[in-house]
Amino acid sequence: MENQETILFEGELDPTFFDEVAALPEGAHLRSCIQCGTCGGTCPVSPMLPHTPRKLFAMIRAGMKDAVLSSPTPWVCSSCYECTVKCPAEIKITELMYALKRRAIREGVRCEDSDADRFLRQFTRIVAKNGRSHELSLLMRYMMFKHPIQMLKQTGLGLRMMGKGRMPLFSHKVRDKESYSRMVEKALELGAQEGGVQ
Amino acid sequence: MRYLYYPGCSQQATGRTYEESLRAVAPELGIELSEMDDWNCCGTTTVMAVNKVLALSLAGRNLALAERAGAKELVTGCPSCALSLSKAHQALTDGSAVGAKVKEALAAGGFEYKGTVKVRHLLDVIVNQVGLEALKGKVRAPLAGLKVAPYYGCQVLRPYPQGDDSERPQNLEKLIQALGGEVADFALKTSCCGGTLVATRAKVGNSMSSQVIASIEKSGAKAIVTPCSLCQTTLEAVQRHSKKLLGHKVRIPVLTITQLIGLALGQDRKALALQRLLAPKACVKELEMRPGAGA
Ligand code: SF4
Ligand code: SF4
Repeated sequence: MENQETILFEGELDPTFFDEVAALPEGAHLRSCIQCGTCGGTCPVSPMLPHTPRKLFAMIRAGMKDAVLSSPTPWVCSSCYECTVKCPAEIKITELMYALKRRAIREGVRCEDSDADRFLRQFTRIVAKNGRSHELSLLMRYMMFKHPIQMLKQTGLGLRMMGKGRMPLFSHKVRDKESYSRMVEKALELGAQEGGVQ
Repeated sequence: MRYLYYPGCSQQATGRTYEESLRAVAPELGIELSEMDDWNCCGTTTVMAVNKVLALSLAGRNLALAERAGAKELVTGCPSCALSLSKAHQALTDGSAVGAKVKEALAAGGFEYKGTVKVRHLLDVIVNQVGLEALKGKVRAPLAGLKVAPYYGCQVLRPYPQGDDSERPQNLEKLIQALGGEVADFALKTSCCGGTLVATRAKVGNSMSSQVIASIEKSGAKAIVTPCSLCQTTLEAVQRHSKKLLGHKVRIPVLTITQLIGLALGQDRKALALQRLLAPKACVKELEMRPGAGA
């Protein structure tokens, strides 16, 4: 396999990025990363990705903000917490992956080969509105326009699940909608200060 | 034993087999579950990636409702719900800045959480509270000769181990043995099934789940048991593509802990929602008709 390296010039780096990430609650101990590679060694998805968590953290340290925020790694992180429980520096890696996703969404940086952000936001919208998630409308909204082929592939499974009564057509909603919505609205507002979006 | 019960969204949809079989076995185990009134989605791993305060508030509202109902413990069968609820409990009790924001959001909806509720996963309750001896006493149709693969997945163990050792968990093994079954040994017991990636990164997700299936198949297991409804669905669904992914067909039924218990208690397929499994009828039948089932 040909190895392609991109040369970065110092001017393209963001010298404040590392400090910003390290200042987040999720970034606690990030300064103590010893680049041991334990995280990448335990991570079930990183062998299929360009950046292991270790590499991503080296990139953060180097100030490669754009490359970090557009990396597929946080989006493909499955939240398995293997890395978090094994990291000798006690870095909350999984939480840091969430923080990087939120940051990327907020800055409008898209990962070129993943649109998981659309899926996550769609899910959030449904829950913020109804109080309960609903697989069918989520999958429909996510796949219909952008992934019609994949949707067809999955239709067999979807229909089978429906036939088994495991994919209800209608969703439940919370009953006390008024107070629920007040809470959600406030949380969205306060979350935006934390770097979240709607 | 009375518990306040938090079902979680998937438990009443894709994970219906889990909830229905739970309702069937709980009374026999002396567990009385009362479903929490007007619960909402825990936010799971998904909302956390979009808005942290919202994610923690969603889980926090459930904790507040549980506290309001006077519950000391809140039981759920979904590991992901247990994780989200535990995370919110931590944020709301550790004096952190984000915790203060979550409190403010809760207050806007008229909720308050003082921090008195302990979140417990069902597997922990069954093994450590009901207890293995009591469980053994209820077995009418022991799983004799049935080799069962104990598949934990991630979130029942990490980062908040639910009444078990996160490195060397034993609860599922103990459960299988108490029910008279044989434990299948395989490497990927606590590896991720990739279920969260099925929609957004199907290739990676399928590769993870098919590896788990391959590892289980090698062990000679005739059934898989899991404490997680997402794992249950994922491991079932990926076997539909086993020919393509692994080169040959694999058909091993994937049961939730409550379905496995129900089989050993001699309960019937309807009660245990076995007809809702994706595995071919013949495989499920084999489980029901196994020698020693007595029924
Ligand atoms: S395991 Fe921890 S210390 Fe080691 S490379 Fe990964 S983040 Fe750094
Ligand atoms: S939590 Fe994410 S980054 Fe960590 S090991 Fe699992 S998939 Fe990899």
